[in-house]
Formats: sequence, structure tokens, C-alpha cells
Amino acid sequence: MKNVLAIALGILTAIGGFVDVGAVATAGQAGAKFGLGLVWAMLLGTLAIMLLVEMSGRLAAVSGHTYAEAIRERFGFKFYLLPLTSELIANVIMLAAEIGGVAVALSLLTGVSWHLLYPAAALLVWVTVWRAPFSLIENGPALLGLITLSFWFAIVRLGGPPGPLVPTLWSPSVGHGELAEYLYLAAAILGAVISPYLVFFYSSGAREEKWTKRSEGINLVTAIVGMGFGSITAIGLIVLSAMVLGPMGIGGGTLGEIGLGMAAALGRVGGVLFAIALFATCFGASLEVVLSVGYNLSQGLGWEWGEEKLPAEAPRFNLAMIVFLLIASGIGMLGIDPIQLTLYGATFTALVLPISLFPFLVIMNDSAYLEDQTNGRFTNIATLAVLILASVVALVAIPLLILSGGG
Amino acid sequence: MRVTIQQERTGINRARSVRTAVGRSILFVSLAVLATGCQMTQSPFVRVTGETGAELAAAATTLQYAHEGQLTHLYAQAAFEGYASALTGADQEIIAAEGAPSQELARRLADLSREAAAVAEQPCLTASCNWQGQLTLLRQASAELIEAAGG
Repeated sequence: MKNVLAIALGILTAIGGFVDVGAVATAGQAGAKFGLGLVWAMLLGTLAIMLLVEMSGRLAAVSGHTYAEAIRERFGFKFYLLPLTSELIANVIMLAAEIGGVAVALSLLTGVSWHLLYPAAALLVWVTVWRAPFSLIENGPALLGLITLSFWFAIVRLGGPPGPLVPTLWSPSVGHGELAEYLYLAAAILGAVISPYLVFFYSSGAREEKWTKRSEGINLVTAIVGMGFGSITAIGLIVLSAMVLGPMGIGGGTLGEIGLGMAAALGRVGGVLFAIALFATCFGASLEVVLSVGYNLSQGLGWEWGEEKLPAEAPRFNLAMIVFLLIASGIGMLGIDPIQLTLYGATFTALVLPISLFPFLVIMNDSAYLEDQTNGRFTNIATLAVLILASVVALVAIPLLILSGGG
Repeated sequence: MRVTIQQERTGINRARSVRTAVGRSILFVSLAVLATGCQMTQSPFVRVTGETGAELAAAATTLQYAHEGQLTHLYAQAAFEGYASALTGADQEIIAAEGAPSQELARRLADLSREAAAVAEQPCLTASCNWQGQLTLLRQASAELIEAAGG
């Protein structure tokens, strides 16, 4: 019974935790501009993150090592500095954007300027990270994030995708001169979905929850079913934006306008549900990014770490998170639009993906860590495919950003 | 011992062929992107008029929804802050953007977007002011800009 509950909670967590400001922004823009023509990118990204999350969970469950610890131990500290540095840069942009998403969500609920609410949003993130236990951080916002399932309710309420929209699923309508923007959004979706911070967070979370070999079932189900359902909610936003925003000529350039799809279907309640969904997903992701940075630094530098520990028991872990939060908040308070920050963050994440993902190929085949649970042939081929995809995306992300004018 | 060396060699060869495959894929994609770069993009004029038109369309819909009771006024107020920010300087960008069919058209669209941006800065969200007039202006400006962008 306990296992069933753990699996159910894991799935719910993954559904709520999958969508963040990056997924909302890229899904909203993708649907508004290209109909269902970028659903494939979301599906591809989902398959990749399922694979990576499963591997990082299996590593933690079998070896008792987090992904960061294994990289440092297997490749040495000098090599570890590469993924650490790239993660710190990517995460600081993403955190500034996620907190911006929280501020915009609060603004949509209260009418107060998001610029004024930004410090309050950052403070809320800090207080939660400082005081809340890991289980609350993991499950609270994620459960609230289940509101994202209302995207599909809105689609049903509108009568489902109209006939002419459906063929854009396999035959995207990319207008003259729009190819760069189309490909850039595809790269941004992949960068937003295949978030390395989620992988680092997940394996550290497995340690926080003291997973053992017996937790492999929970890990597998969470990774596949949870991420799969999470992806469905993000795809729901693509479909809804394609149905409502696209025909109105709206491009999804701000977070507020992406919520118009919900308002079209459900009226005032729809707008409020969108704002709550945005709050929950961005708040949850902010906590995960901050913790992920604390984990990465502490595990790499050999500091005491753990969200279950009191701040005095893991002082450098907690201090690192505070300093990082302050830096990200400083960037966010410069006033850059959260969607713009998100797209830059997703682009940078795409750029450094191969650095963070390459060690999987080696570590997951090392029986010193995985014993008899090393990768099989199929998993290795799939991991290699993800790595190639990540490399291609990394190479084209910046040129496409420049060519498309930033999405 | 011999088996170990052979395994290592096989591993090295496999790693090399993987690196070659990855390298070729990256080279192919980057060449394709660079070679077709010119046809992949829109002119700056088309891009900026399209983006401005889309933002004004969102502003018009928000204003309409707010008065039809499909959105809370608080939501609309916050959304307009985003539109106003996105439309800041759009008129200057339209005039400066390369690729305009004529300077006259660029100037007219810039004037139109300036007027519409002013609405986005101070939207009429109560029944006591002329929100229908604002809605008409936003819709007209949006339609003309999107048309100029080829939409």
C-alpha cells in the first residue's frame, strides 16, 4: 500500500513538476504561431527527459550516488567544473525567469505590477527553501500544478481542435521566411523540456528520500508515466493556443496573453486558473532550480547537504542557495520580460546540454556504480541519440536565435 | 591481458566512430542553417510589424474580454502592463527596420502603432470611458500591421 501511494505521489509530482515557465512560454508561442506543428518537439523532448530522469533515479537508487557526485568521482573535479559552471549560468537565467513567472502570476491575480511583486516572489522562494521540508517542496507546488490539466478541460469545452488545425500536426504550416523562427522554437522547446537541473534535482531527491534498489519500480513509473502525463499538459497548452490565439493573430509574446486561451474557453475562471497554474509551475520550478544549484555545488565541493537538515547542519549548502537566489533576483529585477529571459535561458540550456548529459553514457555503463543494473543496448542507443540531438540543438540554438530575432 | 587490450581498442574505435558521426551531423546541420540562412528569415520590417500587430491583437482581445466579463479587471490590468512594455519603442523600430516597401507606409504604420501603444498604456477598463473607441483603434492598427507583415 505504501508503495502504491509512493508511486501515485511520484506520478502526480512529475505531472505537476514537468511544466515550468519555459514550457508555458514555448508551448504558448508554438501553438499561437505554428498550430500543432511543434508538438513533435515536445514529444521528442519528453522521451529524452523520461530517459534521463529514469537513469538518474536508477543511479541514485542502486549506487547511493547522485548524478553530480558520480560525475565528480568518475571524471575528477576538474571535469566536474565544466557541467557545474554551465549549469550555474543556465540556472541563474532560468531562476530569474521562473521567479518572474511567479511575479507575473501574482500580478494577474492581484493587478499589481509584476515589477513590484518580483521581490516578494523571490522572498517567498527563499522562505520556502529555507524552512520547508523536502517532501513539501517536492509535492506542494506539484500537486497545485495539477491545475494545468485544466488546459485540456478548456480544449474539450471549446469542442476540440477544429478540422483544419489537425493536419498541422504532421504538416506544419511554416510561412515564407518563418523557418528560422520555427526551428528556433523547436530548439527552445527542447531546451526547456530537457532541463538538466531536473535531472540533478531528481537524483538528489532520490537520495533525500533514501531510495534503495527496491525503489526502482517507483523510479521507472514516475519517469515514464509521470513525465508522459506532464508532457500531455504542456501539449494541451500548444493545442489551446493553436485553437484560440493563432486564429486571432495573437503571438503569445507575453505570459498574460497566453492565458487568453483559457479565458476564451472558461471565462473569468479560466483566466484565474491559468494564473494559478502559472504560479504553481513557476514556483515549483524555482524551488527545484535553487535546490539543484545547492546540490550541485555541495556535492561537487564536498560540503554537507540536505534539505532535511537544519541550516546550521549544512551551512554552506544553504548559503550557496541564498547567494544564488540573490544573484538571480538581481538579474530579474533589471526588468527584462520573463518570457524573453525564459527564451534566453532555454537557448543557453540547449547550448550546454551535451556537457551535462555526456557523463550519462559512461557512468550508466559502469558496474562499479550500477552493479547488475547498467544500461542495456537499447538504453545506450537511446542515450546516444539524445546526446546527438542535444549536440545538434546546442550548435544551432544561437545562430537560430540571431536569425529569428529572438523568437 | 590480450582480451583487455582488444576490448580497449574496440572501445576506442567505437568512441571514434561515434565522435565522427556526431561531428558530421553537427557539421551538416550547421552548414544547412548557414547556407539557407537568407531564405529562412523574414525582413526586419516584416518581423517588427508582425510582432507589433500580434501584440495589439492581444491587447484588443484582452480589452474586449474584460468588458464582456470573460476576464477579471485585475487580470486585464496586469496583462496590459506586459503589452505596454512589449510595445515600447515599436514605432521607432518600424521606421528604422530594413525592408519596408516605402518610407511613407513605414511612417504611417509607426504613427498607428504609437497611437495604439498609448491605449495599451492607459486602457479603459471601466464602462465610464470610451472603451469601444479604444477597441476599434487597437483592432484597426493590429489588422494593418499584420497585413503589412504579409499575414
